[in-house]
Amino acid sequence: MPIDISTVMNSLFPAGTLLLALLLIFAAILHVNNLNRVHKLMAVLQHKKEVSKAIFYKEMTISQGSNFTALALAAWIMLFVAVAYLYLLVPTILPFSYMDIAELASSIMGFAIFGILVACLAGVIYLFLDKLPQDHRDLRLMELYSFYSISKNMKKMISITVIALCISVLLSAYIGTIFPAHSQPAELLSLVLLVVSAGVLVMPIYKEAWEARR
Amino acid sequence: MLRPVAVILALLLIAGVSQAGEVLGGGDSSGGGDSGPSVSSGGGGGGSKQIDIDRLLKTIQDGKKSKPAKFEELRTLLWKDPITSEEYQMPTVLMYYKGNNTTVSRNQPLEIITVATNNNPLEMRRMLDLYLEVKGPGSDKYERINSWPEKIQTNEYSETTNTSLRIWGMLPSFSYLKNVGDARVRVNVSDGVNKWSTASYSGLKPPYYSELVFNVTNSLPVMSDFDVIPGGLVRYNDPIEYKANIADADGDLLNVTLHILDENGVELKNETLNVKPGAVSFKANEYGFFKEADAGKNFTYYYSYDDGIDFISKDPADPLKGPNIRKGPKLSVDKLGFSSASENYYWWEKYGFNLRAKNLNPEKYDVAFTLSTRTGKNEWNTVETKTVRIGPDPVEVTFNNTKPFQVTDAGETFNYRVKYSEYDQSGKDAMEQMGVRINGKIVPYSIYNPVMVMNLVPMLILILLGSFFMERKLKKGIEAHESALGRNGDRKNNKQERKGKSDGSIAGKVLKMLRRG
Repeated sequence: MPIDISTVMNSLFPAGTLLLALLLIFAAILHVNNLNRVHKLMAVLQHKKEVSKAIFYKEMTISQGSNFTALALAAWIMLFVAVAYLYLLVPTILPFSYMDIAELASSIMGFAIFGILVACLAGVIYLFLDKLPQDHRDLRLMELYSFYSISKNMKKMISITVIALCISVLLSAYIGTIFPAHSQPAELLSLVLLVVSAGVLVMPIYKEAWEARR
Repeated sequence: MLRPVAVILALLLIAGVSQAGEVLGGGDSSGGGDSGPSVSSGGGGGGSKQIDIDRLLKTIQDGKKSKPAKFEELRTLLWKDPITSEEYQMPTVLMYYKGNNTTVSRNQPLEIITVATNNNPLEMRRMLDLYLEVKGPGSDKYERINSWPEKIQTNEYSETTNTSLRIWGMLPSFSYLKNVGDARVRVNVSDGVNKWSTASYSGLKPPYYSELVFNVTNSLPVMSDFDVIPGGLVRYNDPIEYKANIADADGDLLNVTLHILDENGVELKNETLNVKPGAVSFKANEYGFFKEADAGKNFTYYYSYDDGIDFISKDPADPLKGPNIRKGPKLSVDKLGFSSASENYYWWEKYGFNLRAKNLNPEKYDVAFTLSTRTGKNEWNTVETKTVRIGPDPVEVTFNNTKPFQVTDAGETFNYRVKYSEYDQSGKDAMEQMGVRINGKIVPYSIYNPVMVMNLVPMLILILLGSFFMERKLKKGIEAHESALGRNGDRKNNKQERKGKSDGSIAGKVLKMLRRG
């Protein structure tokens, strides 16, 4: 049976989107699971029935350096912006898009306004999560890497995702400028960069889960 | 006439005419129904039957029309003479009118009252039937106003004065009269035995009358607010409209005639409308008042009107001015077209529009041309207006470098129209054509455009700096760890060490923020 190239290409984008979503969802589940597992282990080692979460998180905290933390934060915000640029700038999977607000989208600062608004929204979400009580520090995105030992190479990779995500944003912006025309290569490349960057950003979680299994 | 019928009914009801019930009443036997009172018929051995009073009445009424002979036979059979007595006194029935002024306009509200005095004891009284009659101006006979008699029942009289009255609401005014002059009003009375008229009484003093005599006058219709629109100089085929208001207190249907005069006061045309009081309008184009040959002429006008009684032959007395028809070109317009900066037809591009015009007459005139565009079902959007002198030689009217479209027009097919201040060879004042589909592209910049660079590069830098700023404020890199371990002292020392390394400028502060690690 002959394989239709265009069908394959068309299905790549939804498949990549699904992969991205699963990658992030499983990372969130594994992150909570990792910490719960260590929490239980700590109680066993200390011969206690239960160790308070606040003490547990305090003991688990590892300083990752302020520059790395800032770059990681930038990478996560950029991930937000890149996702918004890919999925909300022009209609791809969702039926609505920024192009529906044609006056703003076509204005001289339309693209910057969109990106900055999304970044601000991401910043607000991070700040909101940061205000969660000590018992829920596992949900604070800014302290995500404080619970994992991260090698220098991994830190470099996480830092480099900022550049990859910038390229993804630029590619999505290009797709926006040619709308309603499409550029499948640009869409796929932007998505690939997004998936790879997301993978790198959550890699410490997967690595920890993998090592724990071993 | 109804008295015998009432007697028949009463007898039928009292005597319980079961046969009639069976024949006339039909088979409705529901005694407890909601169709009004019912009468039980005398029962034989086969159960009870009931006669519905409404059906009985209807059957008798139908019988009166369809079988008048049978009806008369029934009436004769059941007739019962009114109670007569030598002591019976004839009731006194008089007209009553409160006002002094008997000169009334046709629409003036009237209150005509009839007062009846019956000094007989209650058991001797007879029901009175009253008929109102009016003799109009110029008429030689009275016309009955009410087809059914107004009845005064025996128990309706005041116990103290033995009087009863009727206000004749069916004659609220004399607006129905088509003539003016004396109108006489009287009442004919019947007590079942005797018939007489209020006019038979004499020697009465106001407010009692044997007959009411009114001097009925007519209200003249009045016209006002004369106008011709549009004012000033107009073209012969402009939508010229003569407007005015006409009022008539009597509310009559009015005949209004517009008279159009030429510069010498000679009547050229007239047109009549049959209107109700209110606004009057004559549209020149509808009646073809003016022709091309009238260009350059000034006209005057006046109205005449009547309400069927009075006729006003000229209003206003001096004819009013208008319209003043101006001379103008007889345009010939063609070759309406457009051009675009590129074949892509983007919404942000500049477009050019043009048409060719000339005057079919030898003169030259200034003509205003207005370009408008629209997409879909939107309103026309005026783009540009320009005035061009048009003579017998063809002139190219161009609208160059226009930006007629908005981003919301992207993806829509556009139409364009040029409207001119004169009429063309087709009698129209505009020419319209369909354009092409505007490209659906929304963003007017390519990714390499400096505008896009100025959008994206600062945005990415801002996100990066913002992230650093957030981290420095929240101190998550060190603080999360140090605050957890309680090592604030070292951090304070480091902070002091770094303090001296950067100056106070914004760039210095940014560098300081980025250097910390």
